[in-house]
Amino acid sequence: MFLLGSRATDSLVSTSTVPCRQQGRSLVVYVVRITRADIGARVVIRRRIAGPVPLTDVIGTLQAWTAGVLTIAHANGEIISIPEDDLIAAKVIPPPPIRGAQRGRRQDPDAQDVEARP
Amino acid sequence: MSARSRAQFADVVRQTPIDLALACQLIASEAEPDAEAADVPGALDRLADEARPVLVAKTTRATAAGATPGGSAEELPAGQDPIDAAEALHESLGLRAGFAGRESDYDDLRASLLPAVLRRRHGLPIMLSVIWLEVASRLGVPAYPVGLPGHMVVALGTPREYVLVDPFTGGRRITVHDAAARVRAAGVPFSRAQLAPMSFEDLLARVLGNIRVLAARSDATATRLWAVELSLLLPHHPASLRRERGELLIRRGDFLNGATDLVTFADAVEVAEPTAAAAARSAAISARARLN
Repeated sequence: MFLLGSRATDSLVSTSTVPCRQQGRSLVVYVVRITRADIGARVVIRRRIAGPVPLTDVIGTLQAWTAGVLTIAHANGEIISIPEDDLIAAKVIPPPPIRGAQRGRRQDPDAQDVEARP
Repeated sequence: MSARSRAQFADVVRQTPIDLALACQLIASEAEPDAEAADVPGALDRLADEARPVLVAKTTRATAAGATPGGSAEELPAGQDPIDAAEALHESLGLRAGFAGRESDYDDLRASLLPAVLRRRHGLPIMLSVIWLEVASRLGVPAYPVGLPGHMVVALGTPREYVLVDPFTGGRRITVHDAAARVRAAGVPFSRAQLAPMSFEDLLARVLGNIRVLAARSDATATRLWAVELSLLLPHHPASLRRERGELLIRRGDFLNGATDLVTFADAVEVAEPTAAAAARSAAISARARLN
């Protein structure tokens, strides 16, 4: 189903062995689908935390991935550090949707209304 | 570049429908002195004359294969298929005449100037689209521009029944899915509304926008200034253009007129964008202080 590898070798894709759940008959497999090449991208990360709820999700820009720690910048400016070992699942996600007052407003002409390299 | 060509441009963009080729030629005359004398309509006529037999061959083959025969060989049947038109334009403009885009066109002012694009046979997607539109209209093929983010394409047919072609790749057909992928690649969610006909005024605003952005990148203030000034001649334009002209004039040492533009901008956006208005006012004051 997925290309598997171990985290120690910094493979492209690694699966988490711990929090696999049985849902009906289908097995939910968590996959880390980000690499250091995704630094700068907007990502969603599911990670382990202490406390009664074992997992939580964080969305933000992947700023750095050094010494086994990922640094995520949340949209509200908060910087979150996540040890690699707490990583359960992750993937790159598209830019945030345009909401409310921004919708319908003319986009920045320099970004939208000009011919740009593909 | 002359007061007369500016006045003519202001006049052309207020006609309905706008004469795209003429408007583009007037834009080019700002950059190339001999552009005004270039025979743009003649060049487009010749391209249309070369494309006509190709289109006729396609449509007569189609009618011979199935439906009722049309009129005489030179006349296009009324029930014309946009696919035939797309193929005929691809064959004659793209393959035979060799019109297509190049990577280097994104860094070249000439890729935005219609007479140069007709001469050199390559340019930005938007200029090639203008050629496709002009030739299509000469052939009696309905067509309209579709302004995808960052890339102009052409729809042949009507909004009810059309095919999309990409003049930048020589007029190859693209599917709606290709267009949607392009929209999403630009980070914009796709909807069918993005395939709606673009107005010729918006198209010209985009031509000038391309020139402004390129000139800003290469720090060519003279080019940027005329592109801004032509944009200001369009019936509808964003207030920020006034600020852009003000800043350019100040950089070029015309402090008084630059300051006037900044104040005009500040007055226009006072309510909606108080911060930008205040910044423009203070820039205007410091520009006036440099007058003596």
